[in-house]
Amino acid sequence: MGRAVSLGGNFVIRGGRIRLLLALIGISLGLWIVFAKLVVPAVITSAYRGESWSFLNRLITGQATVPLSDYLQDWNRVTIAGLLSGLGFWIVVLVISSPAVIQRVPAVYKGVALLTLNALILLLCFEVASLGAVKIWSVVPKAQQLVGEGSPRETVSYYAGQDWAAQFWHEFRLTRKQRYYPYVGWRRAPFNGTTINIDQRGIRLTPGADCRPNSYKVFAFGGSTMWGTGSPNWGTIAAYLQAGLEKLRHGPVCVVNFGETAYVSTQGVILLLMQLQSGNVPNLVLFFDGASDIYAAYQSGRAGTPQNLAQLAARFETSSSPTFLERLRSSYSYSLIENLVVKPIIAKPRQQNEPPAPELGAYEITHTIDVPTLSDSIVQDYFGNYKIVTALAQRYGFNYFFFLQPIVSLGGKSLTSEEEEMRQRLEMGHAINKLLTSVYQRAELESSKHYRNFYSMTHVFDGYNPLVWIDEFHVTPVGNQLLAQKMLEVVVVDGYDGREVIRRNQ
Amino acid sequence: MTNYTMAVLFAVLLMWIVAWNLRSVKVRQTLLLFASYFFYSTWGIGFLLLLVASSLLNFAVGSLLRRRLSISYLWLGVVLNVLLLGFFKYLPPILEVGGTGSWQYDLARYIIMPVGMSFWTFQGLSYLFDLYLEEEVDPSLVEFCLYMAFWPTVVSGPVCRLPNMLPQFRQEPVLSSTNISAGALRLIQGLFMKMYLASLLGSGLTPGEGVVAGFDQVKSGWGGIDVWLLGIGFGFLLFCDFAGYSHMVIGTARIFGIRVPENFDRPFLSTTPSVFWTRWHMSLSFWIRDYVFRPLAATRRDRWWSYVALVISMTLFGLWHGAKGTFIVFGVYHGLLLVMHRLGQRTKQRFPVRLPRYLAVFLAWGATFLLVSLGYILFRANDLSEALSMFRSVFSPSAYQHFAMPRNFYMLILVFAIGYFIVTAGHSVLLSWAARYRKAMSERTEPAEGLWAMNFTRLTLIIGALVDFFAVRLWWWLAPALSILAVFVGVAIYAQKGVITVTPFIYTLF
Repeated sequence: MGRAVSLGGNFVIRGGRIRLLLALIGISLGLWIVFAKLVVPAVITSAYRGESWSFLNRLITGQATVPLSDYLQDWNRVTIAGLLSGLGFWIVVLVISSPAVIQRVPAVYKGVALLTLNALILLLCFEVASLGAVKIWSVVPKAQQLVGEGSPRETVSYYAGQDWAAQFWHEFRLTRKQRYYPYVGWRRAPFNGTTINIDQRGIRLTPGADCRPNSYKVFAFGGSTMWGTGSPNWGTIAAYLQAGLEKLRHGPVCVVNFGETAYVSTQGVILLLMQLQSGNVPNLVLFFDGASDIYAAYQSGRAGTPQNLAQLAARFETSSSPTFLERLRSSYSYSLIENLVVKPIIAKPRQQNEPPAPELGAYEITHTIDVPTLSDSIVQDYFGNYKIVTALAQRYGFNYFFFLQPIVSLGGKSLTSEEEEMRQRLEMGHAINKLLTSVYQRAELESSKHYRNFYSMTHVFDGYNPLVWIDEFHVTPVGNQLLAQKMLEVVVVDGYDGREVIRRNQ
Repeated sequence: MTNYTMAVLFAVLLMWIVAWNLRSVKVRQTLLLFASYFFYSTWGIGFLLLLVASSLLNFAVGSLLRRRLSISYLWLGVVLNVLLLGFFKYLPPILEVGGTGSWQYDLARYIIMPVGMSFWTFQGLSYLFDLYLEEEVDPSLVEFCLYMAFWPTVVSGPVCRLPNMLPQFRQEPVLSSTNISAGALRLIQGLFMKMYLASLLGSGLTPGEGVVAGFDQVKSGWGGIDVWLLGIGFGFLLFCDFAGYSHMVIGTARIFGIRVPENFDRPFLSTTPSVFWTRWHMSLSFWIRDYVFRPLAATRRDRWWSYVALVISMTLFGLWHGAKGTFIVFGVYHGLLLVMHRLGQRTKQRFPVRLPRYLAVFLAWGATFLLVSLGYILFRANDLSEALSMFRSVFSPSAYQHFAMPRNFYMLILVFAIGYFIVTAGHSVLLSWAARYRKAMSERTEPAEGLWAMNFTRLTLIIGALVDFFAVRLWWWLAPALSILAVFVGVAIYAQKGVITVTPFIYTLF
């Protein structure tokens, strides 16, 4: 029974209020759970199949690309959010329904008004103080310090003996700035360093490349390994190709490094199309892919997509930031708080164009990957690109090769202890590792039947014992040299008459 | 924090608010117990069952002790608790010695210690000891289970004592603005220490430049300065992490009117190792003092035995953290420090050294701070050989020319340490000025002119008045300031598509 409590002449049944609220909480949350778990999933399923009312059917239009499970998953999130909001709402109701609180509404109103005013005054004071701090900081002379990204690969033992390493990782961090590039999404912004140079087109410098009109042109496409993650300009695959070809040929050689971090093979093909379209026809085209194609599929759950598809799509699909947020972000207070408070405590998800990392942003977190089906699709897409390039090669008269890049978990190299750790790290992500293995097996099997100009580099480091890998997919300059040597063995250039003689390396 | 964890926390808070509105003590306690069990079950139903089993076991042994105070019952309780803790905490590391592939190793992988087990086992033991020492405690089963599972403290303490908690479980609940204000302030302080300061020290200004990298990623050997700063840095990291956690726990309980024992009291201002252990992880160090050291020391009257008892107690303190050589050596090291301090005191009495008081205090503080910091190397090193290698660097003069860490690391630790002492000292000074201002105001009998004639300067008077003004109106400026900060941080996280990274509390591992 409720106990009567006298409050300023009103009688409130204290126990009754609690009981009533508890009943309301129970009923509302129960109804929500029944509605969310039994009713809505059935409605979503029927609407997905187009069997519901027309206005509900119209709400779901992505059947071609988005599986039903995605919609149900989204609804699950809404369910939990609803449940949390409901619980929060009832906590607030429990507190404010107290008779004491109700009586204090005028005082609460005054308090809120005062707090708001104080917040505005503090904001103003803080902005002025931040302005002062930013101005002072800008005039303080700062010592030049070489700071990398702090990733484990920067501390691989190979770099301990390289005097350029600290400078390289520092510049590598600085080159993370991207620019939009038509049709392929992104390329690095121009950069002039001592170990990394990127021109206005976002193309990394190949030392010694002589690109006069009559030179022998080689276009090298690929992801971050071709771009040269972990290597200064002189240590990229393109640089070693340039040096090797210069020895094999008379006359100028121009190797252009079209590689870019996180590029999949389709982006390479598009870049090739753009070069051909502009009349820049190469003599030889080399594709060096594999890991990026697979990782992109692993992230999105389907083949034929660029990496970080969800983030790219979000840039189009979300509306521009509200003006209020933009204003906040342009304030000195924001700048100060971002640098002093936010940076040390937040981890940014792997940015677009960063090298593949199996532990982040993966589709498998929320879905089960059908490895055989997905690997079939990846291989089909990859060889689809091969066929397109074959047709272009016939039409434009260039030679081409597709190289499947090596990864640390495959091949017969005797791994050092550091490399063994990398392999284990990769194998810990079971789904990505299974997918990588499956795709490589299928690609090698498929290529032996139909694709003459395809070459798997999986075993390129077999028999080489020192450390080559800096992470699961990238190698040291020494590794790049071995890769370039193997490529040159596959593509032997006759430098006397300028005609390429292609020998299939068995 | 996942949606699920948030939902659980919301539900627990909801249950607690409801419980606080209930008049029946038993129903309220039952609901609080249910909320605590619900919270704990999120780590696994199996863990919850163990907690319940441990509670029932201790309650049963306690009932026997209440009927008849017998040492054999006490030993029965101690042995059962130690066996349970030993099985989950100490057996797996012993089994793992067999190496990968052995059946022992495989077995060890199946034994997972329930979260907070070391804490609630010690709480159970303290109940038995208190009964044996004839403390007046007569909990019902629900009260005892609530004491063992009390959700703010069940994960990592502070280690509570039943005589302190029981009256609070029974009292009429009061939601007072004083408690809410004090609790919320502690909660915010804890969040700041854990989420900002500990993260900053752990990961550094940029990744790989913090204390964690200093212990885990240095491959070329440490320099002498590196080791000292790593010790100091880890001390502060552990302090921010664990004291931050303790603030959050104490604050949460305080909001609802329950006072949980303190765990830290400005430990880095200690001027002797003995004082340090009355300020660092106080709930555990007092537990060890009351239930291990004192009974052990009382068994013999020889002075040397009290020293042995000290070393044994501190070794047990180290061992409490886990069956790892580094923890045991950490305990022995502090035991020896305490013994040396006592011997030093005796020597000082016989051969007094006259130093200016401030210099003596400064030297005592400096020596204690450095020796305690060196001890953290033992606590944090990944194994004994790493600890040995680091100690070698400390005692090798040539190692002081070698620097293994990035420059930002040295800057961070030095700025942090100096900043900590400035803030701590500044805080004390400001509070004292505010207190003097209040005293002056309360004693004032004449108009304001009389105030200036009092025994402090105008400046301190003005500052004291300001501090008092802001302290009295704390939430009028703190709430808006925190709201502004929260908005900016939220916008920054949203804009950078980032997530707040919070490493688990270090003491949840124990």
